[in-house]
Amino acid sequence: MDEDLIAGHLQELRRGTVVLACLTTLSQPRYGYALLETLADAGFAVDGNTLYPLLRRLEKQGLLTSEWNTDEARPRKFYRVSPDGASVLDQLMTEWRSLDAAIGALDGAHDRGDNQ
Amino acid sequence: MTTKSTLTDRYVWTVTRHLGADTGPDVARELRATIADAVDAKVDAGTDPAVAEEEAVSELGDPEVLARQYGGRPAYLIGPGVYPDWVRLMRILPAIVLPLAFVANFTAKVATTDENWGSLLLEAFLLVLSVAVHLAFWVTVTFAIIEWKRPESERDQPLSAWKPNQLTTEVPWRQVGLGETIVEAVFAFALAGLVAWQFSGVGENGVQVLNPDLHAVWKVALVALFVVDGLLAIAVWRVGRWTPTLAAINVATNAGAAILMLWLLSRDELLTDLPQVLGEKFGWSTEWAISTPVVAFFIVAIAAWDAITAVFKARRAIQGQRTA
Repeated sequence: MDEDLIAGHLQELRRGTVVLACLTTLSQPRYGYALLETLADAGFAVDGNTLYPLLRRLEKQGLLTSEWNTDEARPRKFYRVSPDGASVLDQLMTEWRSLDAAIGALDGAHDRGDNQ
Repeated sequence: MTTKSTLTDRYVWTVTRHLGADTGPDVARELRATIADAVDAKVDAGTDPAVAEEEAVSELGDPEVLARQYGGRPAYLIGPGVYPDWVRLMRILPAIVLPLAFVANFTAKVATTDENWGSLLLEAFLLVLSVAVHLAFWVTVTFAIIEWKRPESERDQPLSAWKPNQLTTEVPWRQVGLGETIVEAVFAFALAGLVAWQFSGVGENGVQVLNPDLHAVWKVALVALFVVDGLLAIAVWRVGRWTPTLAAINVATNAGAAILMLWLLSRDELLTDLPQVLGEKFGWSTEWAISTPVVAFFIVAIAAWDAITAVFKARRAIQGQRTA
């Protein structure tokens, strides 16, 4: 099987889930690099050049709020989910679960007993 | 390379220089901290500090790309949303404008100057070329501006929703119009008549362009080839499309006519001494000559155009039948 082909499809599948992963993780305030590491540790590797502009975009859309923390020697911009962001997260999560269930049903996973 | 600024300085500056005053400094500050965090993590993992900075910056990639993502600007001139409209316009506009420009320029020049036809045609051709380049350029610029000025959320959407009534009224291979046929047939027969009249000698009142002293065989052959062209147009209309056989006949008659005319031209037997004839008739200067290469070029161009369009239409008809 062509590796590039698989990588392309995987990337396509993951693309939309980055937002979901960010909103989920940012219920706790985090700065950019820490978020990157948290996501990577959770097995959700995102490139910095994708993640950092995305955080700005979500902030501009009102889904995230940000605050500079200058207590430490290195000032950092902390992001967290806004009330709007939380409601978007709810909807995205519902969609994610229903997609998972729908795909599972299509796959016949119920019949094989794989899905609980 | 010796430089006073660090790699981080230069990278951050390149990313943020085109961002507005409202976001630029903030992005710069955050990016500095992020790069520093990445460098620290690498150094903690045992990487040499100088190498660590280079690695951290390389991982962020091309600063221009990153700047585009921060700025929300598209990384293309014309995206998939407006591309179909761009293609449509780029097909329609040149097809209307270029022939008009050519005819208008050529007729205006013929009416106002007495340069020879070859150089006038060349001039008109060059004008059409520059009009074409301008047309393509400005249409593209306009679409790029539209693309860049659209809100980010609309970017992949078409400018206006597509509707079924935008489809062509008839599939092309069923499209042999009566008007088109009449024009082609009348033109071919008129040409045959004109050539026959020229070859039989035009008398006192006409202008003798073709050589009336040509051997009768060639006269008949040329007239017949033009007549066949007219008959072919009618045949195509009767059949309803260009069949491979009709296209082959068309290619053969065009090639035949072109070769015959070129051969006669090379032997100086096709045309009369035009400067002489026109000079006697209208009292014009006889100090010019018909350029044989230019005449040859037009003979080949017209014949090739006619032959190629017939083949193209026949191919389209075959493909069309397959999709029907």
